[in-house]
Amino acid sequence: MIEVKDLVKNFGNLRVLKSINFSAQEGELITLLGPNGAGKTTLMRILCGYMPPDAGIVQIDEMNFVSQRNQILRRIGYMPENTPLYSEMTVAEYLLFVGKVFAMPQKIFEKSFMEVVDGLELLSVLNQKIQTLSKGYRRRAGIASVMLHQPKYVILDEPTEGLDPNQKIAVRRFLKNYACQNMVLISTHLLEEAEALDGRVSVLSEGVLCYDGNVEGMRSFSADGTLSDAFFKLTHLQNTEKE
Amino acid sequence: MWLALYKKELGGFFYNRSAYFILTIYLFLSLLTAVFLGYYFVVDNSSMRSYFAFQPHILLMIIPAITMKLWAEENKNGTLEILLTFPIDDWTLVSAKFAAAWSLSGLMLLMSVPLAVSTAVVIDTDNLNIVSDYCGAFLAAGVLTALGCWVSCLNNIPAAAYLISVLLGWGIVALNLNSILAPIIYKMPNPPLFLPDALNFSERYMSFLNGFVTPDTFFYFISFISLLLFFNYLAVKAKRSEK
Repeated sequence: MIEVKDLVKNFGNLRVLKSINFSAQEGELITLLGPNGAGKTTLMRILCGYMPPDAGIVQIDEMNFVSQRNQILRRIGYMPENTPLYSEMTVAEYLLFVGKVFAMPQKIFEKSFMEVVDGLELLSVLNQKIQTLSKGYRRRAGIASVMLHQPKYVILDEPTEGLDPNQKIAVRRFLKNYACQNMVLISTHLLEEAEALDGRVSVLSEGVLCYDGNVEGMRSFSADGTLSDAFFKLTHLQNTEKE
Repeated sequence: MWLALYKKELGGFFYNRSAYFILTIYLFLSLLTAVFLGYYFVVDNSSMRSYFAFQPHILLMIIPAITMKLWAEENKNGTLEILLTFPIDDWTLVSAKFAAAWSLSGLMLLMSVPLAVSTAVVIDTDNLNIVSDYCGAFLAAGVLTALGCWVSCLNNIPAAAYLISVLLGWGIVALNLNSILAPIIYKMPNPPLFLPDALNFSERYMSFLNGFVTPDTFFYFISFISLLLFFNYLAVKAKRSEK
């Protein structure tokens, strides 16, 4: 279980996250929605231990990053925005490298390798260098590397950005399937993503978590029943309260 | 895990072909200086002195080209975010990157073996002294590699890392501590006269070329490398917390 209490992050004088309280557990597929600059990426980076918070508590399975960093990171799979990968490697080489970094036993690696390659339809590009891949394949290779060690908690920053509609459907199906037994947290500013995934939705605006519930609950904030109207009201309400 | 990182780093030099370029330039510069500045085929070279006497100056220009990308490129490409969220200790990261770069430096030095063999065919060589030369050059390369790794970690721009490493490397190789420390030392009640020579990089290196190697000379180089790696480790720690 991921537990976040009173999380605060500042960049200089700018407070990016303002006392965030949040919890998530296995079996949940969470879409973190928010306009650009809402603090989604910062929150994800803190959850995966890339940056420390300025205040507050982040606990993963009752462990914290200060004393049990590596134990936690073994349970997390994180892919940043823009999918930074080692471009000079082939997809297979990169997955093998990740498997070795996580010290995966050979049999588990082979099984997991086949699962992610099949699930994300990467078989045709396995021996292709990452630098020669299209954006869609590159993204899927990134997601495969994150899922390879079968983490309990998967954190993906805008995973479907740049994918064509068919690829988006395939990736969503894969993530939904994976979230049956694990937790998947994805960030996006696309409302269609939240709608399609139909899981839990958390809306972050100006560093404040202004909604946490399901898609239908979010619709209730809208006069016309659309998510875009609800999103506007939730994020606008946040701005109005601030003023 | 360490081995996977080491192989990735070492492979990276050959994937993008930078290693071949660096090895060629190194060989060209080494032979050029040995022949035209050291009069390799004119003076007595039973210990290959003409070849190894110029090595620190050549290495201080070549090694930063090996190390400049180690951390700076990761930062630039965003792969550092992936690397720092893997369950890897900072020491493992620092040592694997250093070892890969040092290995390439070692390979670079071994390119002169055909010259050593052909010299041994023509004249009566002092083989033990030649081994001592290689040890000295390898340890000197270790110091410059550790320096380059540290500087690369402090910079996001590989070109800047190269220039700073060359400058600092030149300081280490060419600095005459006698002139700097003498005014301080001679004011002391019991002046430690051995100190400037003991700390002088070039003096220590020359003791290898003279075939006069004592354990404290090894200790000097190993502790110098360890100190610079420790600085590199602190720079990685700072990178984590500065985010």
